[in-house]
Amino acid sequence: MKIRTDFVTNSSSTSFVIIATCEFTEDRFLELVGVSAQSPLKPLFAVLYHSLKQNMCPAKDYARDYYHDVTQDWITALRSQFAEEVINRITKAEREGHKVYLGKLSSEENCIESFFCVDSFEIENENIYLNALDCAW
Amino acid sequence: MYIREISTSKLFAVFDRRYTQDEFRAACQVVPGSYADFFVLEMHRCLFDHARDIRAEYKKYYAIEYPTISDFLFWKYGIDKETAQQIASKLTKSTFVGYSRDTMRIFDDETVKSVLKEILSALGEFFDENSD
Repeated sequence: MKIRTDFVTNSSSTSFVIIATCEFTEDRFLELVGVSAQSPLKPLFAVLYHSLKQNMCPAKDYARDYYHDVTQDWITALRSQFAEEVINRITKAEREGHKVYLGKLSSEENCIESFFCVDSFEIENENIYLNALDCAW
Repeated sequence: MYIREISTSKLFAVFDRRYTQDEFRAACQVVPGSYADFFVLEMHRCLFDHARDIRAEYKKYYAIEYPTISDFLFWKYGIDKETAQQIASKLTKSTFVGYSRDTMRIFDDETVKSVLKEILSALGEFFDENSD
């Protein structure tokens, strides 16, 4: 048995989905979130971009890593985690040859990643779709 | 500018004045209606809109009870004496001291502080080279 007497908190990690018709670059990400080249917020959203970039991996690899005992096809495995609409988007993107990435943000890394980890949002433009609705905070 | 997040739910911020949402948004130069714009509104809400003006509160209700604003911060808000004195030392005639219990928990981050400094510099906030 362990007894902890000081401040106790819980950590969290939340999943995200990125679908891109092109390479997922910092400039394209900043355009997606609405940060102009002159905006003072650029460094802050650059931190988020690097967190996403560092934690994302191709959907197929994510599914196989996350569901260690995938005996069915990987899309089916993802159904337990994502809404049907998201699965449909992933399936369609795979069929059309677009890039599909999945990953997790953590509340333990830095303040900026922690904030976006516990925020729930979905944004898209003609090049990129970012879904961070799966917030389990 | 002085910002201090104490515990997970107390934020104290000292600014030259209470900036309006319109001027704050304009200084951020993000696309209106975008996710970054939503984030900017959250920051503004946290620092200004939802923040209680505790300097005004002190003057109106507590100046007789507590001889100094640092005593007031110590006894009424439970801030340690050192932080209370730091806040008090930042006060000038026109200073806004905001207190929020709905903090975004990002304001201790150095990148966020530097971003905020750039936004507020564009709005005329004075930054003392020796201030933290």
